[in-house]
Amino acid sequence: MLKFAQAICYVFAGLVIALFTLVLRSDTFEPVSTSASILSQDLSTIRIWIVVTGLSVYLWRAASGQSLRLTLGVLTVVAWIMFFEDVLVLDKVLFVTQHPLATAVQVIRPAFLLAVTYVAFKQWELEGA
Amino acid sequence: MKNDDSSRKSKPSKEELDALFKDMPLFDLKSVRNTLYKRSIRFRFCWVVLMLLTLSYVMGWFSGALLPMMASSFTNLDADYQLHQLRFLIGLLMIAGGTIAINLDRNIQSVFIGIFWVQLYFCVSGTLRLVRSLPEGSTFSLTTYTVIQSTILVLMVWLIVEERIYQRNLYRL
Repeated sequence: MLKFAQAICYVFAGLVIALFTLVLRSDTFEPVSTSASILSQDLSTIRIWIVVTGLSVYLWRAASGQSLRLTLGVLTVVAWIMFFEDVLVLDKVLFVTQHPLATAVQVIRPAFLLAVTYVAFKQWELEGA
Repeated sequence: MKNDDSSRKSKPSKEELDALFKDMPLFDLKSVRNTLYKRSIRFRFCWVVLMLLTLSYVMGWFSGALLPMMASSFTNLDADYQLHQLRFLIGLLMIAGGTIAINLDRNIQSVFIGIFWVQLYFCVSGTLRLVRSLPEGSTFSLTTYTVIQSTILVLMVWLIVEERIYQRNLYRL
């Protein structure tokens, strides 16, 4: 179960990186206003860096055998906060793209949130034992 | 009458309840004051300043003094205002989380590290938003925002370092 949850997290991180790279490089980006465009571009840029940094730190710590529970805890909290921001506030700012990659990210996101929360709790339990 | 007496007798006393809950970590409240007195004076200072900043922020928000300095005042975008409200709520939840950790005297370092990273995300995205939305020449809002956010981040780091020192000393003993 833990391996499966970790696999979901890796797949989601890969999809997000691919999607944001696509969004930032293409012109198929249709926010409702210029101000909204700046807001969504900035948040997208910050988030891509969070995903890349989080994934790098996680992989580096896992490879070097260091404690992962705090890293996972922080990443889980940040992931949930970004999700709430998107669902409660930014749904009217960000466009809903028809690109299959974006659809995949939207579909996998709830599964990712559950998976990363499970992995964080499991890691906490394993390292606490 | 007889029934009333029996129900009164079956009710556990405060001492009995305390004894029951004593071994349960969740109910083993040590109070914020007790935990703070165990920590260094620098830890207490950081906590008190953080609380004062929060209080002044809430007062500033409800008095409307903060409104002209917010990004939504410059962009007139609903999303900016709603984002601020959401982050305000998350900030209050984080303070509640920190206070609970101090109250229980458990996982203080972990909780504050988590809060620090979330705060850093808010700080970076908020500063970037102000930089991009402010009209030219009006740097007062940006400076005020950056100074307040940086102060909070520095206090958080200081708090974490102090807690780490305390835990290390406790482990040595």
